[in-house]
Amino acid sequence: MYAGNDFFVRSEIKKTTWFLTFGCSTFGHILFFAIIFFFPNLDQGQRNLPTVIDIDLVSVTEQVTDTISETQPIEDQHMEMEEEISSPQPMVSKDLQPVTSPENQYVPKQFQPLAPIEPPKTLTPQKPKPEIIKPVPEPEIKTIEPVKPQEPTEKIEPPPQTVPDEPKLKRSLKKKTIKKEQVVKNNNKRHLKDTLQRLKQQVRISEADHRIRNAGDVKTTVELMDIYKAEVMARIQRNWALSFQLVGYHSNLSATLVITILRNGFIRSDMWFEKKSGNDYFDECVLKAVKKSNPLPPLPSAYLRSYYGPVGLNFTPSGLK
Amino acid sequence: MSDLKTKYLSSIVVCFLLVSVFTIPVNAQRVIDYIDISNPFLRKIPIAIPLFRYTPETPQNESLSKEITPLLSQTLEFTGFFKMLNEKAFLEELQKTGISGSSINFKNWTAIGAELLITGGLQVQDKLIVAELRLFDTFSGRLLVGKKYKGWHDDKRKIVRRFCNEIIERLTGSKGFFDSQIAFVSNQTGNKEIFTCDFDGYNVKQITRNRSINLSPAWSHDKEWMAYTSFTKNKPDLYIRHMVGKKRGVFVSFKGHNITPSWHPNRLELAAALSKVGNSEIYLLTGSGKIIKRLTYDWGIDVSPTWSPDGKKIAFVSNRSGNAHIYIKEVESGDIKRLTYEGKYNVSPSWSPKGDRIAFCGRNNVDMFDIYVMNVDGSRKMQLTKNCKNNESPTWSPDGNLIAFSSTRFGKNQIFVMTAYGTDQRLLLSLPGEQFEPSWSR
Repeated sequence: MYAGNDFFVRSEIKKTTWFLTFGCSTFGHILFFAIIFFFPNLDQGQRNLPTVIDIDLVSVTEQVTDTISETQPIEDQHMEMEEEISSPQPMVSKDLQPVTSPENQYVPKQFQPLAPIEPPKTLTPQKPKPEIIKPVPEPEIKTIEPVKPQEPTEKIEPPPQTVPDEPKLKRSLKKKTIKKEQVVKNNNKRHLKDTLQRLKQQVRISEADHRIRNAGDVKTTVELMDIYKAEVMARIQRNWALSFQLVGYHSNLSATLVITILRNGFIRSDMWFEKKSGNDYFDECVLKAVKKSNPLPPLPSAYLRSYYGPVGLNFTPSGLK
Repeated sequence: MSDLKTKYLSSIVVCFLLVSVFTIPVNAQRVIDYIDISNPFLRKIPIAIPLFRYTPETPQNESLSKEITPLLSQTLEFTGFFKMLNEKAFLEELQKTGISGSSINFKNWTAIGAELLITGGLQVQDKLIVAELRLFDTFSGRLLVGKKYKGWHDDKRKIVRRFCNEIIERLTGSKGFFDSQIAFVSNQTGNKEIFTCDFDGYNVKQITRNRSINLSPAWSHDKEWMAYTSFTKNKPDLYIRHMVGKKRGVFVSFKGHNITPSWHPNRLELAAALSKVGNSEIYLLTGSGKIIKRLTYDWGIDVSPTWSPDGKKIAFVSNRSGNAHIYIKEVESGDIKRLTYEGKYNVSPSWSPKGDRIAFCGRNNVDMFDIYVMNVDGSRKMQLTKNCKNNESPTWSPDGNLIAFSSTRFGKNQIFVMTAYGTDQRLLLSLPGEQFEPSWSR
């Protein structure tokens, strides 16, 4: 007992030391988890990705999911993608032809990753293909044929027997007989399509995620924002009036104004100079040019964040010599 | 135990705070995208000058307003600083809105691209005009200049120029040149006589009437005296003439030629090329024509001195290297430095009032003359005129923003004006005969 009491007494004496140890340990743990939480990609080096990239990729996957929910998954996706990308076009002035060219590059790159329509096929090979072809009614599109093989093989066997003999007769038969079969068929098809779409969706999402991780294909989204940046540059430049006589043709004048652009193109009022030129008139002209340009073109629809920024506007008049 | 708990909790709170302190600034370090903007669309200040408000509203006063408003526009436009916005684009009329800052909707002016706005109100009382003129910054709505002038009807031009001076001083920090004059040589009478005009070519006056050859006019720093070369005695002598009063003039006639006078920027002294020793050298003279000292000593011909704004150096032309080139000499130390090396004929140097540039005339590859400017050490040479025949005799405006020169681009010699960077070249005045050798007063 005495020994025990002695222990507690001693432990009480070293209470402060114990708390220090405990505190440090807690702090270390919290710091560790915080680092993991805030910097999940820390092990991948200094790939501090611009926010643009993340957002754009997310938007891509979202578009894909939207289109997948519709009937025609693949071809429509192409269209959807193109539409989505081309949507910012109206904002671009006609002069900026380069707008279209990056899109053309953009589309094929999208399809490569989105192509993984094969995964469903890996499920189908279990069943014989010839049987699958028979049940397929004529009106169905051939492109879907390879997909169907999964279920209809067993259940829809009876109709194929009637159909393959004389497909035309099938049409001539009374609807009653066909309806039942078709209802079954349709149900099966729907079910099959749904599962396929879900699979494709998952594949695409995983691939998009993979691309985010690998950041190699980020180029396309960067190009999209490059176009927007070019638009911003053109708009502000058009509103930039600077008397070269007043600034004295000093070639080293430059100022950087940092702004944030809202989704609708409006510039947030909290703009600030990252770097001033040292010439009050020049800095004032810079501010006026930005104010005159407000609102800027709205952000591309593919850009999902509510604002774009901070954006540094580097004003460096090249004509000053 | 409660003590234990509090310590335990406090340690957690401290840890949490520490973590947040470490993580928040890291997150705050946002990646900034940069956009380079390098080419201003407009290289002037867009300014709106709507028709001045007039009271009482009579047709006579309206026509007066229509006379003064464009006069102000033209005067300001002459500087090369401003781009006048077309009045058809204006969304407001001062006659309806008023001229004070509180009565103006500045958004209507920023919407059309105006960065500056001048409003004016004219009150006409018998033979007097009371003009209230204001300059606004349209973005901030700030009143930059506000003046009220009272004068006779004939003082319209004076009123406008005074207000323009205020504007330029407010924007550039240096006084405008709207009170300055330009002297030049014209043969419109059949002889080469000295004439003067206002900075904008208005108010031309003939100064000499000796039916001889008069050349190289030069203004003293206070504009009271003018020196020029005249052949009235059948040889080139210097004449120093009082321009504002009726003080007696000075005649400088040393042996040989007495040419190319240039007044000291701060004193009534002048440098001129005299050949009294047989060779043309530059001398420093008093305002009364007495030699103070000889400035150049060389076997070559030294002519056309021009003073630096501080009066410590002169630039001049010499053929000591074999061809005509421009040199700089420090008056006190006597150090000489050659500035031009290109070409074989660089003459008529003119030191800018700001002191950083020297304009001169150089012969190009096709044996035509063009205007150039360079730094005072000969660097950053810039050609201001090109492919427009002969361009000679550059002279700086008092503020150093404009250069007047003579050009034969329209056939005969005429006086032209351009900005110090060679832009906005335009004819200053259209007179019969030829005009050349302009000299801008301080």
